[in-house]
Amino acid sequence: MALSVHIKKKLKDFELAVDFDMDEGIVGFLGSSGCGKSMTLKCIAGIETPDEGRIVLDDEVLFDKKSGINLSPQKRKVGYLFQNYALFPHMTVKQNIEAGLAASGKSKQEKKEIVERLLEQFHIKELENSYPVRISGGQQQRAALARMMAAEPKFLLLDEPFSALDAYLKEKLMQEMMTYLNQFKKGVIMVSHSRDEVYQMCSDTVIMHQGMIETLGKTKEIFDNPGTVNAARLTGCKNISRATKTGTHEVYASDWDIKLTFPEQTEIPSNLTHVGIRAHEIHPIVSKDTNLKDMDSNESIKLNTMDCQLERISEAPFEMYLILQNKSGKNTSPLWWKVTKKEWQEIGEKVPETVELPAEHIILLK
Amino acid sequence: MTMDLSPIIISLKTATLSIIITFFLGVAAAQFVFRLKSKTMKTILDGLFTLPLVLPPTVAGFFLLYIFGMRRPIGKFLIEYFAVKIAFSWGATVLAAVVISFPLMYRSARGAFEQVNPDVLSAGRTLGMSEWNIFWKVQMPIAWPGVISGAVLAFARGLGEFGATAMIAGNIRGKTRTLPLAVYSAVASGKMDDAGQYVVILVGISFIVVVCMNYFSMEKKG
Repeated sequence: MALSVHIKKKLKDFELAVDFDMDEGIVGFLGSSGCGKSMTLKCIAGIETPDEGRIVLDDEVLFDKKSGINLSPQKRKVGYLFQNYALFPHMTVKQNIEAGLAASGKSKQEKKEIVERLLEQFHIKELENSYPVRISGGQQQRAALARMMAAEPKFLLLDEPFSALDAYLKEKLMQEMMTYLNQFKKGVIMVSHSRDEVYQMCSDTVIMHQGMIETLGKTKEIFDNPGTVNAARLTGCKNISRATKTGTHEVYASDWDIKLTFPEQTEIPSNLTHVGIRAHEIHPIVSKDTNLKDMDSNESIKLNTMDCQLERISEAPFEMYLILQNKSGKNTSPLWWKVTKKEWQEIGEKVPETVELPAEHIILLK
Repeated sequence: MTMDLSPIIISLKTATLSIIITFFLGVAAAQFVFRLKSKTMKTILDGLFTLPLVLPPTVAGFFLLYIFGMRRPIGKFLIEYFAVKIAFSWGATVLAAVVISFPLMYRSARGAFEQVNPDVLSAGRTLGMSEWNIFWKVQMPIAWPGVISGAVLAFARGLGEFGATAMIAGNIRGKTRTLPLAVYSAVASGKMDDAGQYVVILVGISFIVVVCMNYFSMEKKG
């Protein structure tokens, strides 16, 4: 199982240039809207034609500009789950699934058995005679999955599979989808702009920006060390500042007006342009006398601290965001500090006068 | 004096045959333009196919005479090799009705096709459905209400066709005199009562057809 995509296509605002190989597993394409993620999927499925390049799936050439090969979507055997599921509105759920079998050349009896099996497997047996408009978003997704599986695809492309769903359904359907995809045991690409979806579902992550693949690798590693500013933003890093290397182990973060010192083992790249810190990694220093736990580590506390004042509090159901400004008063951008409600109560709901940006949590970005 | 019934028969025969031809021609043209990739070609063809709608019917009739007239190359060719005479025959009433009603069918069908969610058609392709099946089993059923309303308009237009018919088919009693021409002839010879009867029949047929087809397209929808 291997997919190899090396294509270029001129789009309205930029050029799509994707170079990417994968084996089995679920790969997440993470990028903001209009970055070319969906276009990439459409090129793989044969719905859109790249201007140049080559696409190979399992030793079968799907597209090759040089030798003039461009298989029709019908011949590619690539399953595509559309963002709004694209069920046939004038057919019942059952007829939709049957449509996926139309080109299979199987006998009537075989087709009937497959449809029954899929209706059971995707828990839509009781909806078989319903029309797509009459069923919920989650049920539509399952019907579309069943229809896609009926065509026995060799590879799956999922285009923003959860964006059309209500938030409360999303979590549940993500788990369901994982079950189905694990049974599939072939390659899957999932396009998404949600870091949560990608983090929970995908073993590997590809970060796309303006038609280019910016970073790719194991999901966990990319979230730990995104490497680029866009990747950091897409993986949910709230605080990013411009930065310059000022010493072997020192960096000046200009947007926060703070000098950051790193331990000796940290290699700071000379082409560093930005640093970031995730909102929950900021450490409050409430005040020396109340914070008994930190008494003995006074020395380290002195590093990477910032005297701050509160600009605004933003409250979410289970956590708080404290938006803090550097007290130095220069034109700095605020830091978002995320604290769970429990922690917030533990520090007596008191806005810290000083916060620490622990060196081990600073993300170095290019 | 009893009324001449032949215009009713001729009109019904003409309108029925011409809507069948117009339907398939219009849908085929709509599909062809819909699938065209080049925008320039789309615009040019669209203009060409819409022309009979915006031209005065007599001008369309003039062109038809110019092409199919007995002394014209194509007209001559048809007579010599197929012994088919178009001009001033019953066939000419059908030809005129088809040409004049075609743009309505074409434009409605194309509009309806463009309303179909392109993802749904792409989905059919990724599922391996043939283009033929996608067209007849997915695209047409979804676009059906729009296609049908186009067919209704085209039928009504074909039934009422006058100018181009008069030019290419003439006004031969019992042969090419359709209802609209019969109304004209009756009025021209001062028989207002006869004209009135033809008018009532024309209005009646048009109304029944429109109501029937609307009902049918609503059934299909829900």
